[in-house]
Amino acid sequence: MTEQVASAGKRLDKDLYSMIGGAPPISFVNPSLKSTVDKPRQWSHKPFLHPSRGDALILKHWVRDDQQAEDDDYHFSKFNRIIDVISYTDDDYEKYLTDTDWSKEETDYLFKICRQYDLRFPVIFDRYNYNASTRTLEDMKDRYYSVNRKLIKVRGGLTDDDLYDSRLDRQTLLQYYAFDKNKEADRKQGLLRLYQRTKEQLEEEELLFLEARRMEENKEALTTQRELLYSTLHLEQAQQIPATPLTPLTGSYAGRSNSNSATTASSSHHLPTPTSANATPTASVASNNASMSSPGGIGITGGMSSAAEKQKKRKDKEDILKKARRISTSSPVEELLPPLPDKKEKLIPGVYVRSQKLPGVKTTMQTRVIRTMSDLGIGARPTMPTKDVCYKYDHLQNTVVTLLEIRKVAEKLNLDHRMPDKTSPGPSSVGRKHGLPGGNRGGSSAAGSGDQRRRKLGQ
Amino acid sequence: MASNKRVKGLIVSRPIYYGNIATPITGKKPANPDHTHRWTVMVKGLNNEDLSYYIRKVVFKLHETYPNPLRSIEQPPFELTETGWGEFEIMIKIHFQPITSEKPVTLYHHLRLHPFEDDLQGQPWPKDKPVLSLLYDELVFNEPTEAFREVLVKNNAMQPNLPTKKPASKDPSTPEFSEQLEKEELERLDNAQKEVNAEIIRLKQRMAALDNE
Repeated sequence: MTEQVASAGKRLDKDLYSMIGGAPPISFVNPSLKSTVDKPRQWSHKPFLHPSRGDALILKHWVRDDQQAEDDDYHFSKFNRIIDVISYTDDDYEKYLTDTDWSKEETDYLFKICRQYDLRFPVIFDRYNYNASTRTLEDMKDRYYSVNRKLIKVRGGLTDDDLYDSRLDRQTLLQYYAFDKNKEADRKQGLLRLYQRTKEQLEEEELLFLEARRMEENKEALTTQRELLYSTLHLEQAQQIPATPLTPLTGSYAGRSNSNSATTASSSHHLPTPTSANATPTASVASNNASMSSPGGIGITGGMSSAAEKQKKRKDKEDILKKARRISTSSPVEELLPPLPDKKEKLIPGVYVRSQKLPGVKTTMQTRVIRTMSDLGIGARPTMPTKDVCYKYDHLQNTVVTLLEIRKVAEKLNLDHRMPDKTSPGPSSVGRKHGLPGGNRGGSSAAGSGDQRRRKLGQ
Repeated sequence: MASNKRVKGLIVSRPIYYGNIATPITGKKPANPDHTHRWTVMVKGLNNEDLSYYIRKVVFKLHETYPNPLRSIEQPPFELTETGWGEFEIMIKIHFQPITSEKPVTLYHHLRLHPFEDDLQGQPWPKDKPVLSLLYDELVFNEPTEAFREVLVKNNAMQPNLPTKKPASKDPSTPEFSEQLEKEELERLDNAQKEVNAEIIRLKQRMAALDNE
């Protein structure tokens, strides 16, 4: 009966095994209490020799008879790794290795211990016992490595007990044995300090780190805003005097700019100079207008529109001048934009399609710029890309980019103004912290706001 | 014999317009779905100018589904008529006369067959009215050779010579490009510029006010 059950069990197991792919999960295997071996086996108590021992001590151990006879060395002898510590003769010592701090005896003792403890310096340091000398671990390492370096220099790459790999050149070997005692000592001190930091110190460090990072981020925001403001003011200045090769070099224009450069940075000159400069060069302005006006219609359109245009544009320019900080009083007189030059300074010979040379906008801003332009009634491409149209179109595009950037900054200002930051103590300081750099304002307020800002950031 | 030396500092721009006219094909014969429109793509000068004095040939590259998609037109008028059903991008390569010593320029034009806007009266586009897509552009020659300059002078082409006024009729054969149209565009640009400037000033004022708080 039991046999049948046993055999049925075995057959079941086989089916299960095939289902699971042969490897039984542990839970399914019932541990069998039967032993796999039926017959008792023979063991013999054999003597053996341990090759790593210096003496000829013979020990005995049990070996199973049907296992392979061990002709090789004792199994565990391979774990006896021997580190090669260099050896030197007394002659070598006298010639190269003498040292004021270390006697020959002590050096010999050090090397003996190194050999004994397999260059494990912590152990060596612990076991070191030479006439009560107080050597630190670094001292011992230093002595060991310097001896090695000197010997390398002397013996070069020559094999000495195959100690130094002859394939390596002397330089590399020297690098292997480089050791700077002071640096090592400092390093260990540093590690110790790091390891022993208290919990409070750790927290403090964390806080400082966060603070520093926040300051860094703020700094970037501030610099970008500063640059934005510079660029907008530059653009306005560019409307007045473009510094590009397109700068018209007509004599009257150049003359006026020279005379007025001396009177910059004083706001009182704003209003009088435009009007006075207006009166003078009407003749040259008219001629400029004439030359730049639409080709083919020199007399007609130039004459008709110049007066009306000038009037309208002069008024606009005065408005803008009142707001702009930079003064350049010469060109705003004439046009909203300076007249186009008759000659370019650098011409690349060749032919091109005018509309293809319209400098485009950055792809990131493209869609927004196009949308803004269409709101203003301007399409993505000028209908009639003539020289004048292209010039104005490009200028308009640039101004729109500036506008969008200023809008972004204004939005942020607005937001910060309405919702003060949690870390800063109130709306006024928020304005200061995130506000546009006060550096470009009139001279009086610059110092005050700058200091305040610096104080806030320095917290 | 005029040389191939370039005239320093001289810029001459020649106005052209290019694009297509398309009319739907209506006929008594049953409509072929592959040929619903007849269209003409062209490169022309204003005032019906003959461009052959500086254009040697114009190569229109059509969609691959057209046999021999590279169509080369070597005499004026530089235009090509075909039939089809779909809109695609045509590559237009303008080759210049050898006397100009200039490399060819490439333009791209999206062929328009379907009306994309209502008629000016606000009514849907009438079925028979041709669909136009004509674009103005200028070929700008920087420092042309002396030989080319002579050719230009001979053909009275040193100035763009745009027609002064827009054409009176809405005839598709004479497009609207003229000084008048240019002036209108300049005015529009000026107005836009003023608006943008005003907005910038307004924003800067507001930022200044906020900063002062």
